[in-house]
Amino acid sequence: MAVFITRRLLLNVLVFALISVGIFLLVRAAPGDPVQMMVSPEQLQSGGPAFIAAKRHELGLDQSLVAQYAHWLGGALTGDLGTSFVSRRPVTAMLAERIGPTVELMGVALVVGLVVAIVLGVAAGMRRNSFLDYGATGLSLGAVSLPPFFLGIVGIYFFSLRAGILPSSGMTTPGVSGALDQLRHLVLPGLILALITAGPFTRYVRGGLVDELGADYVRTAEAKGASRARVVVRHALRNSLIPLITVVMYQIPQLLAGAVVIEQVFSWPGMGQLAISSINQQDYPVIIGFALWVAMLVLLCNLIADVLYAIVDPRVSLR
Amino acid sequence: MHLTYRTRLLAAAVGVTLGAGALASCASDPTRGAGGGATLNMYLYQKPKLFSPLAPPNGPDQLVMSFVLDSLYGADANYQLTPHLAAAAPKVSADARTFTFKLRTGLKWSDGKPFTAKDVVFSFNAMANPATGSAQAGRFADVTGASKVADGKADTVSGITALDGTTVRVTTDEPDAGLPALIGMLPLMPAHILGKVPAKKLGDDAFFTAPTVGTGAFRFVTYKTDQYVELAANPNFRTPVAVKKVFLKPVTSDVATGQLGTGEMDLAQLSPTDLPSVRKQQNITVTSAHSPGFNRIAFNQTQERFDDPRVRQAFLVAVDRKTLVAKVLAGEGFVPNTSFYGDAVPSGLDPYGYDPNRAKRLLKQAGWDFSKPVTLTWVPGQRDRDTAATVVQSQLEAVGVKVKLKQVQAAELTDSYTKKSFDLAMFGGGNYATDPWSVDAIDACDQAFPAGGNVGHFCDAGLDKLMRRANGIADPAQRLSVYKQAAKVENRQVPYLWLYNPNTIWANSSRLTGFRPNGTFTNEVGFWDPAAWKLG
Repeated sequence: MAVFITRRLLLNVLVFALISVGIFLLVRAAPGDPVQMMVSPEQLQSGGPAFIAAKRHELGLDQSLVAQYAHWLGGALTGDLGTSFVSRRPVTAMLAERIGPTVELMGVALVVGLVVAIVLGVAAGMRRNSFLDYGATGLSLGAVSLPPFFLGIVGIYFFSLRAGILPSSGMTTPGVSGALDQLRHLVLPGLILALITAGPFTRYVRGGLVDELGADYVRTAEAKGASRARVVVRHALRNSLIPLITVVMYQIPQLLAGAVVIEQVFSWPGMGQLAISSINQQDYPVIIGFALWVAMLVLLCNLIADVLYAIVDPRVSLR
Repeated sequence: MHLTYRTRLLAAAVGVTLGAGALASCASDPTRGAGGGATLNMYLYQKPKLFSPLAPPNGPDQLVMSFVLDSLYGADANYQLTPHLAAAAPKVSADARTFTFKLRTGLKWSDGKPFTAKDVVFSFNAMANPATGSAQAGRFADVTGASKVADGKADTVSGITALDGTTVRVTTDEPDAGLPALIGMLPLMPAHILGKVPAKKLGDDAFFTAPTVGTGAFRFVTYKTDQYVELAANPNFRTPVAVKKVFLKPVTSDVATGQLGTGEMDLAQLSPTDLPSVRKQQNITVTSAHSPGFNRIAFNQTQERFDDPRVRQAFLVAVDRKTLVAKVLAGEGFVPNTSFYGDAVPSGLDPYGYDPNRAKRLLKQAGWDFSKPVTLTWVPGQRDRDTAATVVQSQLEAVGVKVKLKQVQAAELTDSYTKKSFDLAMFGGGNYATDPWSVDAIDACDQAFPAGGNVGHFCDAGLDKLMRRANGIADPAQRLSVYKQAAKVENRQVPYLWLYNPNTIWANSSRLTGFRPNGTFTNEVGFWDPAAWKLG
């Protein structure tokens, strides 16, 4: 397995390098000029071209693409992803301060989503074609079908505006500190993202359990006198969750996409907000930094999925 | 004790529900912001980035700076210069080349250090010097010695001097009566903090991410990235400040509107489309004021078909702008017929009322080719602008002009200005200075984009001559008279399809008193004198 992981890591480095070139070129191929965007035309009063030329020089945009990439790569290899065109802050610092909130949101969503999915999936799988099964199916389909922004707005309307029991935006109440306040702010965006996450997982858990419950070893266990709960929890459920490991790992990038939208709706100061604002302002270094972070997350999740699969399923061997 | 599977599940569900309930009810009014009576929560329509007077103007940054970094002058309700840090209106020499600014006495920075003419000289020098990364250098182009600094031949601008602790003199190479309006509203920076920073490093100085020392009614406390900006009353402000703390919160407009109802927000700028829902809420006061902020369509006059003023006039009368204001803006706005604003607008301008027959006649006279379509480009996302685009399309088509709509990103729109590749471009902006001279930047032949803001490449030598003449006259009344002549010329020439100027609209909770809306160039900084605000 060590050989497999080493080989995959080396391959990932190569893929990562190619992705960085691709992102670098794609970002620059977008129409428009980040420096011209900084100045609204009607505020240009003489001196416009001089400012634009000076700024382009300052930001290195007057150099060739190869020179710009080489400069960026030189910095990236030492952990310096450049400076934001707009806020003039180091990109690594901007990413670092936003990773925490996004991971917090995604983490809560993943854990709660998985718990909900396992509970609902098991309940639905054990009582096939019952109202419970139809209810769970309807809920999971709804969570998959409804766009995250809609769920977010509905959540704000009912829990913040109508009921007034949860805050509608931000990660903390201005001027208030403490874990409890942060937890209250996390409830609504975290649970909505968890609901979105639980949708597809519930389907997998239910499907997997139904397959396993029809297997011979389950019948054998029941024939030996094992209780229904023991058969489900100790035998069928364990085996049915194996494919879920892969699905969870592959769903994490999807979860990030949902988090980007939820962060916008709830003014959650995470990576999603940073990505949207930097794209709108053509802040090249930040866009590249964010895209590389996503690429790294995807590559890492794929590797972890492969390794975990081999660990939990002895039939799979990694070479 | 043995519990069945179902009982365990039920117990878990009850536990989760109780836990969530306890969490939600842990505060008496959990949606309300902190601070109570002395704290004001205000809506910030976008996230701020950098609080630098040197950086290119950006609405949310400017809004924050308007609280913490004061300027010599502000704009009053009539969009005229009104003294802030200055003691009086600037003294302009007879040849309109020497400007003397007298400061109030006894002014202090928020850290207690005295605010003097040295701070003004330092700030003006920094903003006039392109080496600092200043986007304002163009405003100082006429100041004596500014070109030498721009060329790197001098470190300081010889035409900016401190005569004593409270007097600043600025001299120009050419007559430039509009200069005080161009530079007087720029936020000023503390020389005792930034004075020793080399020019090349000044733009990137950490001070501009947290300008904790200022002359505004409030002092900057912190910016919790993307969450809120915290401000506290400046104890050294020239008048007592009643509100002790302000939180500026960047949220979506929908959330801001909702938070007005829950008490999480005390003050928010509204779009006209939010008015019906906000007016239904209790304890909310809605106020509005005229604004120099506008929504216009530029004609690409590098295309021969838009070169004839009759074509531009035809487009103007083909659109029912009054109904647009009534329906799209809920009546909160007005229809302009010139790029000039306020006192500079003369009577007797052609009102260009909605008249499809006149439009058809004008197009025929101008030899318009009805077979060739025009493309209307704009950046979508603002509800009034999106609606206006479809109305303009249908009304132009009613007079025979085929119109294609094209939504683009902001960067693409700017790109089309550079490449001169657009036909019609709808954009928002504002008369960015109180003096009518600001119109020169969007109309003059030598201000064609990207040298200036004349994105349509309109050119009329007669208008340019009048504008330059006006800018050389020191006497305000005489100058205004010439600007009014220029406005009449511009009204006939129709360099832009002036759609409307939306009002600046604000909603505030009834516990906030003393708030007065006031349209300024960005529209978002649409209020004045926050020191006079009081919270009940």
